[in-house]
Amino acid sequence: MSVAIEAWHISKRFFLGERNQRAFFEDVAAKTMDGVRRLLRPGGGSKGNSSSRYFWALQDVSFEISHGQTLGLIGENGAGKSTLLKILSRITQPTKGAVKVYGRLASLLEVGTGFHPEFSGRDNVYLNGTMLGLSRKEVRQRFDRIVDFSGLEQFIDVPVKNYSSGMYMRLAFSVAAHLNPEIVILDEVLAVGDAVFQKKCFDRMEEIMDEGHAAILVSHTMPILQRMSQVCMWLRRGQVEMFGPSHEVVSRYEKQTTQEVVSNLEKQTAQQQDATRSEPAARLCGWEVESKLSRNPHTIISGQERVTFHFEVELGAAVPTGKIAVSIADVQGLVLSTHSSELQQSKAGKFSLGLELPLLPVRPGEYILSCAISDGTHPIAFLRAIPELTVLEDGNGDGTGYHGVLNLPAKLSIR
Amino acid sequence: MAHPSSTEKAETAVAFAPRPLNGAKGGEKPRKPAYVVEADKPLSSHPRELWAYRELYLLLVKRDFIAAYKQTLLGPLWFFVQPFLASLVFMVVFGQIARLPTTDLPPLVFYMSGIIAWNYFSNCLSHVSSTFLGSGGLFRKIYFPRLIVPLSQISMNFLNFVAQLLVLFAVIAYFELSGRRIDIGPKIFALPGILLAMALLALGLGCLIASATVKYRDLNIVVGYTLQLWMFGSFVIYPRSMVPDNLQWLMNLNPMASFIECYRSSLFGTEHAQTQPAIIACIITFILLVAGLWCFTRAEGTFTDSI
Repeated sequence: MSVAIEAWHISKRFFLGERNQRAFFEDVAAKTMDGVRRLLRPGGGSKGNSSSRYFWALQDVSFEISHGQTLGLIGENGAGKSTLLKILSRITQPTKGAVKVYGRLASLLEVGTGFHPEFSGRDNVYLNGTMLGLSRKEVRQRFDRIVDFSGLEQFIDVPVKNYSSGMYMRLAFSVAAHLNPEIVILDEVLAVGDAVFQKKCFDRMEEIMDEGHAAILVSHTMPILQRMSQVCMWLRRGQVEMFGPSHEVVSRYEKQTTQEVVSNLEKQTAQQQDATRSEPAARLCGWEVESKLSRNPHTIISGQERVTFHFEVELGAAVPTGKIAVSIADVQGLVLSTHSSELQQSKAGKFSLGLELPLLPVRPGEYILSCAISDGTHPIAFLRAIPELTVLEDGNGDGTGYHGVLNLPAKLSIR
Repeated sequence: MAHPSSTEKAETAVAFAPRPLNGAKGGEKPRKPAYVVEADKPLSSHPRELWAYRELYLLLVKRDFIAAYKQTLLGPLWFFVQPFLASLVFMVVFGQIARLPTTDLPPLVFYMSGIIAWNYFSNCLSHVSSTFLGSGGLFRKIYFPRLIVPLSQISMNFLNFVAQLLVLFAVIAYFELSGRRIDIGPKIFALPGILLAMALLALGLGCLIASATVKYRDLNIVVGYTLQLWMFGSFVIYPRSMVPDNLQWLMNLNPMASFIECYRSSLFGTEHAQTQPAIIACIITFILLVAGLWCFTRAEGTFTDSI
């Protein structure tokens, strides 16, 4: 396999703050001082970059991908993902370091840039296609496929200003999807339109990657990343936190995210309590899970049957006619399942709550458990279980991770 | 290809033992990189790249030209009416009230020829200087040689100029028919060269301003204002013969004054363009062009950095 992209020690510095008269004179003054300093002490030290008006979006990022490989890029907002993509696609220069790109690269950071509202869909396909690096002849060859994919045959000669926003995005994605580059940079948010068209977008993205091209994929949806990319890079505050096989990086990233979500919640709860300066309405003293295969009170094995959760809750006041609900959510906050029951406690104090699940078929990862208590009409407490629930691999997999959200008990047979 | 699969940061760094940038590594990488993005080097420096994007350039010219006509109320008519109206106003203000002479030409032809040439230059300059502000959104998303945009703007303005020149010829034909002789001699073959010089001046100066607007946005307002004042020093409304001798040197420093003089001279032969100012104008244009392109290639790589 030949190299597709090589990146050496890329760093990128941004300027924060306003450009105004003062900034202008400061610039001039700084440049002059710099020149004087260099005159007095030749070769002595670079610019004193103590200024807090600068911000390093990327610091010393190096990596390499080959043709046929897909690199997943993960990280919170502001971790430097977009900056990295912009440097790779030649939109901005790094402050330090260099990138070498082997082969034609198409970077789809946004679809539909450069569309002109006054022009027809047909003209815009040509305009956008040439802007993305195709020749007019190449656009002509792809034109029928593009229009076919967009499903806009009837409207192709109508000015795009008369398109609905959905139609506009569909046409734009269709152009982008037919570039046939050797290296492609994709952002997950590109999947546009209604559910049917979105499915088509994802299928097409997979096709592009299967065509043996190198790809860089940005996504916040871990199952998609695991399915589509072999290697992952996790960026954190502009630095490479981790680089390696997708399933390893993704599981570490998920664990980290869960911990941060939980600690943020703890902070919030603490602040709220400080603000009200009153006793909490309820407290979750502890929890554990009982299962056959795992000894750890906060861990289960994926794919096993029957788990029982025990929660110990302390009420600050009596709740004569209330409700209590337990929910299980994944790291992204998607609630997987909620179970509720009547709550009739005539006095304050501790009680124990049990939740028995004959089946918890989730893939390995971190999950957040929580209890919500209401007095019948208003919610009075929302309790998060600490630590989070860890679901481990069952050892039957090949270690490359699980695809999908669920890990259902199943048997596949051929007749 | 061995891939770094280590999971620790420290190991990752070791796994990427960086090779020398331009160090040849035998037969391992026979391909040349499609491009290299490097700190302190322009993003697109090679003229060959501009050529590769010629089709985009043509489409952009077409787009801007058609869009300009589609968006105006009077459509294409506006381009023909506008210099005509301006000439009439100038005829009254400068011809009848201020009583400025217009060489041997009928005032309408004198003013109109000046106005369309000045419009051509000033539109080129203001469009080129707003390259980064106007197309910034596009530049933040798609790569193509940035110089394509100012070049296509200049070409579009050239097409507009040609359309207006045809109107001027129609006016001249009217005067000819009514018995007034206006000589159009072989000198007219110099016209394309003069128009090119104006375009290069607008490109060079425009690129300089465009690069500066990346840091100081309000510069664009200054451009519009300056262009209005600049016209009064550029022989649009009066010929060189009106300028007193002690101010001639000042006019020589204005390349547009000389270019407009040459332009009228090549069209009608009524003014005799002087060689010395023309050479000075060409030198100034060349210096501005080199400086402008240099600044532009430096600005295109970092213009997204100021938030």
